[in-house]
Amino acid sequence: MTKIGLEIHVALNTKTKLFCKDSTESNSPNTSVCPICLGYPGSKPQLNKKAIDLAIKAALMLNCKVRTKFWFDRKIYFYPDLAKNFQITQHEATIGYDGHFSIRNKEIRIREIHLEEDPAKIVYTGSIENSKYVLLDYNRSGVPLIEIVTEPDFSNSNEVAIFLRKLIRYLEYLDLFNSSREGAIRCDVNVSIEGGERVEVKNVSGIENIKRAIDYEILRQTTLLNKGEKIKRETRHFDETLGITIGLRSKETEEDYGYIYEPDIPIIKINEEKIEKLKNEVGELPDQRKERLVLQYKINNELATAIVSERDLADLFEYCCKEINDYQFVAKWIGNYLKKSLNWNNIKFSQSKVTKEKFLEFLKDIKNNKINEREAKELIKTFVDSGEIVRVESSKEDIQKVISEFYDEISPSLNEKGINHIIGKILKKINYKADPKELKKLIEKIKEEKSK
Amino acid sequence: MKIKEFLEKDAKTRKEIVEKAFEEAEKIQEEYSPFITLNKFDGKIEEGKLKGIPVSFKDSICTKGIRTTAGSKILMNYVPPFDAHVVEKIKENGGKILGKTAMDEFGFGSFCINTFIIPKNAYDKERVSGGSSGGAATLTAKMSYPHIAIAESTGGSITTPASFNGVYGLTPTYGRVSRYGLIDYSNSLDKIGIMSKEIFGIALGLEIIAGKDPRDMTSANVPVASYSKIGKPNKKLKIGVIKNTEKYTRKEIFSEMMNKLQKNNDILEIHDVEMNTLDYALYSYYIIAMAEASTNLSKYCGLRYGLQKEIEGNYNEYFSKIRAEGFGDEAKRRIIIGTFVRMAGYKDKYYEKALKVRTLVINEFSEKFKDFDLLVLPSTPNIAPKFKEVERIEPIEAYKFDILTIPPNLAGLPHLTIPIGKLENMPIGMQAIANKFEEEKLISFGYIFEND
Amino acid sequence: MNFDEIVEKISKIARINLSEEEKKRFSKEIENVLEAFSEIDKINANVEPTFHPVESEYELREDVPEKFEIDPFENIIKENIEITKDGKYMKGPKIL
Repeated sequence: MTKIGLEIHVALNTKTKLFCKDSTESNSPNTSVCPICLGYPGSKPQLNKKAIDLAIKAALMLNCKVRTKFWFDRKIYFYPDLAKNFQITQHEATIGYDGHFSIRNKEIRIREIHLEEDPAKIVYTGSIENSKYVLLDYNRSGVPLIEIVTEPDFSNSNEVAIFLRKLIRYLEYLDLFNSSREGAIRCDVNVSIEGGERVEVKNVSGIENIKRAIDYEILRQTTLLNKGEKIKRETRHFDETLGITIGLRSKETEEDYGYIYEPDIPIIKINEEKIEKLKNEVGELPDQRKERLVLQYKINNELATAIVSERDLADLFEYCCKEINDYQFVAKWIGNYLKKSLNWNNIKFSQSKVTKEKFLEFLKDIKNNKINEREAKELIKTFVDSGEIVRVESSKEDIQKVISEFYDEISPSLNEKGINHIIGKILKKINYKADPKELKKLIEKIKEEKSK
Repeated sequence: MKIKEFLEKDAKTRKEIVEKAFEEAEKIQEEYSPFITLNKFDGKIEEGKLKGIPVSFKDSICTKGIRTTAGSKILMNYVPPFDAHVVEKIKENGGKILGKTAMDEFGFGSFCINTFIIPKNAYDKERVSGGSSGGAATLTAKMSYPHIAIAESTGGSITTPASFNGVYGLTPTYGRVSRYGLIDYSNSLDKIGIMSKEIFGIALGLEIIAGKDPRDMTSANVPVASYSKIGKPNKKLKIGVIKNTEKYTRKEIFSEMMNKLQKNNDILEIHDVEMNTLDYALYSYYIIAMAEASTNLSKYCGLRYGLQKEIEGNYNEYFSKIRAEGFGDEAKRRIIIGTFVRMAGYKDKYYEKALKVRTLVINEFSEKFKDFDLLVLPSTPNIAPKFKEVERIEPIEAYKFDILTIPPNLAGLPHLTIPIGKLENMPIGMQAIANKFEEEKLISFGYIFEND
Repeated sequence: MNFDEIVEKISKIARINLSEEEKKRFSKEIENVLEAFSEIDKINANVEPTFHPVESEYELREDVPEKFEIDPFENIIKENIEITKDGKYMKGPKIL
């Protein structure tokens, strides 16, 4: 039997770092730094309130119990990326514990969730083996992370992948996590096979690599066991290029960390009302909401999934459905066309300049044929980008010019279908920037003239 | 010249006096070496509560643009990019930075000999100034012009040197003064305080530097009194003399302390009390202080600031080489002991137990303060020793010298050392301990003995 | 306890090279210190540990970015600075 457990590190979606005011966004190396995240003598941590709120929300999302009193610990180990050569983390009284998160029909137990600071980024000047020295970028030093520790409840890499995808989807829905950030999700993976000791693969980035690392480990360990060899307890490193794990001469072990309480941060107390408030903010979770939308609005599963990919998008959907009772129409425009445009621009709805009110007006205009659907599909692209419907009507001259190109095709015997066909061609030529009804009138006028 | 007298002078006269004070400091430096770094007077006299009074800072307090070493070779050329909270406050009030005073490396010592610039006692150059804020005490005693010293105490680093040099020394409540910009020795014990030749200097200094600062999460949100307006007590103070300190103290010191108290029995109601936790406090203190210190010193590894070499070898080799070269004997000793007491397998017996003993000490003090305004005991067991007497002292014997100063420091309680006379031509002192945030009582009490 | 071994082990964990003389001296001194510290083992302390001697109201920081004016290379020797096309880096010792 294979047992797999995860320690998942997720960068929280805050504007500033965990203990200082530096921005979590930066362009060039070592520009978003200050004495605190550089570990200068005399600097002290200033705990970010938002990071605590987000971590509690994540704990609630994972059905964890939330501590009303918790503190931070110092984990002491030397490493070039660690500004103070200790990490401020939570060892004893974590923010959340005893939770669960289900995938399909399986429940994965969550042992605990805690808050900690990210180390700096190491840039290798060559390969790990050959470089004479490394380069350090402290922009990442101090970025808030949550670490989610699961029980060893997974049996294969597929379950892990499904779990992580759902986890990311949920974290994004609650705006706890920004997946576009570099190195935003990292895992330590524990794999053990019956008859062998537990092996830990450290710091694997991205779901695909995590899957590969697990599959490789299972294969490696099974092969060893079949050969009658022992599997010793160890820490390994996953080489992304080769797709294999390599034994690490371990740095510190758990016994060597010599944890102490973090003396620069008081014990943090959270009252029940605060937890209740955050619980309300978490509210309905994506899968529950999807099921409800399918039932309540009779929309298909695929569109509902797209709509709940982001909480603001789902809110927009329900907002528009209050005024437009063609739910299929609203679902199609939000779950399909709007979602595609957002993806194209690589932004979330909340980051676009489109307001709920303007989008509703836009849908109404389509519904009332003020804008034709084909034009609307074009308009939505710039709408997402600028927040405005930029509708450039073609000038009368331009329209006349294009129509004149089709003059020969407009015969007196032209039927309704033929007229519509020509309208379609004209619209395409002028990027749909004309009212089809007006075009029809113009075409009919020519038809009449010709029949005289 | 008295501080009050100085403050009444016009700006031009004050400027002349400040110039002379800076000159005097230079002369004192030649004979007694109280400074690690001497500053130059910029010739500007500002208004504010200090109106130009020269202020010295212990060298563990960061001063922007002025070298700050904390008495360690590992920070020999370190120039901080920011001012400590207390430096900002002093500057805002028109104080002039006179220089950075000598100290035991990172505060590790009771005699101010564990460093590269060793100050001499103001009363006998063959004797120690006391540790760890030795430079501050010698300087305060020798300055004839107005001067206030900002020092720091972790386990007695204000009381011991102040008492050895016959000046007042106040260690405020833990959290009363922000530690932002103080180079950490032991974060849960470090307290910035003041030395002066006058009680008024102590009161004025405290009034300026006390108060909440968001940059130190452990700084207290408790209103700051107008300490400089306080005088002698206006009602009788109930005093508990900690009687079981007698056995640790030279007979003459204890009896002189009793004499001084008895002489003022019109305003003091004197009782004997016993502290049951006295002996245990010493060990609890050293365990906590060393555990925290050993983690604080991790950051000094030859990266970012401080002692550096061209990067060579792997991180273990590079860090180990720099740290071996940069740290002095006592720092190394405390790192080793501090690492040991928090190591898995020993942590419960030492570190965790020490934190519980701290609770016992705090509880005992709380009980006492239900009955007494102040607790009084001698400042040090003996007068300042000669250099040759402490050169080869066993570390544990040196630590035991702090037995009298540790209890209030461990409990984070405010205490004041008061010069009470001479023994063999060397100053002796007594200290009073107040309940938390009751610095006013200490100041009132101090006035009783001024000019006595 | 074998204090020679303990000092040897800790010098590795704490990343401090010690000379043979230092190891010998420290292990003797530290043995004495730890023996004295063991005194607290005798006390019955059935109480909660105290992390901070004085508890106080704390403030959590709002999530609003603010730039700190600092040149992070100011205190670094020039040999340990590297400028690449991406920007400026500090050099650090290699891992292996």
